[in-house]
Amino acid sequence: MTQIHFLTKNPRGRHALRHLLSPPASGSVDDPDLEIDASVTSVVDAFTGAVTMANVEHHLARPGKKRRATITPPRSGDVLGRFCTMLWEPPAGSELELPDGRTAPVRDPRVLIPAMRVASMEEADALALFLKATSQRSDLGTARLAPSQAGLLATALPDLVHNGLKHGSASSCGVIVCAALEADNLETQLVVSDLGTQVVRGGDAIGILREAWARSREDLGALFYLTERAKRSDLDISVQIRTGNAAGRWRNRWNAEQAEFTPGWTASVTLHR
Amino acid sequence: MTMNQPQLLNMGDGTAVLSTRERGKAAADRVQEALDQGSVVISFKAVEVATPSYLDEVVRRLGGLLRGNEERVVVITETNEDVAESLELVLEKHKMALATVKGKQLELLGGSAQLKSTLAAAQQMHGFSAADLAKELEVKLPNLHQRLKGLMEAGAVSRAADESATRGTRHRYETAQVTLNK
Repeated sequence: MTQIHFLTKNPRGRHALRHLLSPPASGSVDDPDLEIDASVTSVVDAFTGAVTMANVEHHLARPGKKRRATITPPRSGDVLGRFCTMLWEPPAGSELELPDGRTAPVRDPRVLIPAMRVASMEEADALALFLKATSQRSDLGTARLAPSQAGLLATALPDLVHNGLKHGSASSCGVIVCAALEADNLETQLVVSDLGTQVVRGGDAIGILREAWARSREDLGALFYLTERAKRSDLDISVQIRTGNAAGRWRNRWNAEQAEFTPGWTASVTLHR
Repeated sequence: MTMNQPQLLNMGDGTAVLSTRERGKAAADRVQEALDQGSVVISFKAVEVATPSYLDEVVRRLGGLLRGNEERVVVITETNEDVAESLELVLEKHKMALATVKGKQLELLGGSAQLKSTLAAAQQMHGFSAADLAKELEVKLPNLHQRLKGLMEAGAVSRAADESATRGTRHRYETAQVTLNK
């Protein structure tokens, strides 16, 4: 049997996080095949990439059966290239299924890091270097990042991944990273997601979020570093964390509130211009 | 090795990204080992990215080792803009400063404007006494001693007893630049 998961027309930002698959309840139906159908999707961002990859990794990692995952990309030509670039290299056991007669679309250079599972700090370090270089490529034209912007994201990436590897070690999808310029070139997003079970439904997610922010301030963690460095360099950024029933956001000041349930932990940085 | 012969420590050692507290602690151990021998030049040559967690471990250890320092100089070199910016942030958090070479000039990463101007004046004088520098900056001697203490704890200035002094204990001060050029 195949479990079909449809992506909506506009699965971006927090709307994308609604699509994250929660670990299944015991006794629920366990289909060996997963199809993620994005055929009606018309816009995507780094959240879309991270969430889709997290779902694929989560499905393939479940024990007991030989599993497959298929991703049906959007029908719309405008977004097809961008979506396929984000999911360019799906893991073994999964594939991107292009519509009949479609050839592989041209890669979208605004996808700075395709969605991928990062298994070690060596990989995270390599990605940081890659992000620093790729976000300043001349073929991005006016969309390319300034050195200070690229440096900010590249410096934050290893610590964000480290947080995921350390605190989300039980994550069924590992730690997923995706970074992209928005289609309108006005924002750049770096998204790091895991499906760690530290914060569960009904738990004190806001308390955990506040504690994480306080610890970050104390230990100069990645989140606090991002906000301090942005202030010093006069960069307009926002930082978002979603976990359990809590959402934390920083844009000039920190705020945490109740929110729709998000499995695991997703931290993101958005550079605004 | 004599106390003031600086040892070169390459933080990168072929690694372009320095990350995590664990690796920062290992790097801090290397810094401590080198500093036990005398003065140290800490080079970030070819390092593209250094995370705040990594730098925090190194800076914190340096802060402890340089407290009350008089003899050793520590100079940070070859930082790119990103690494320098991150270092400044970490230093600011710990209310610390460290010496760095920019071009041929010795400067401070972190630290107050007052400390920076004191270092700039000290560099013009090469070897100097506290009284000479106080006169140059037109500040009172106790005030200058405070600043010199800050600069010694930043590894930017070292001092040694002035053998030629006829009364009491006098010191001659040198900036790190002079020590490195020896």
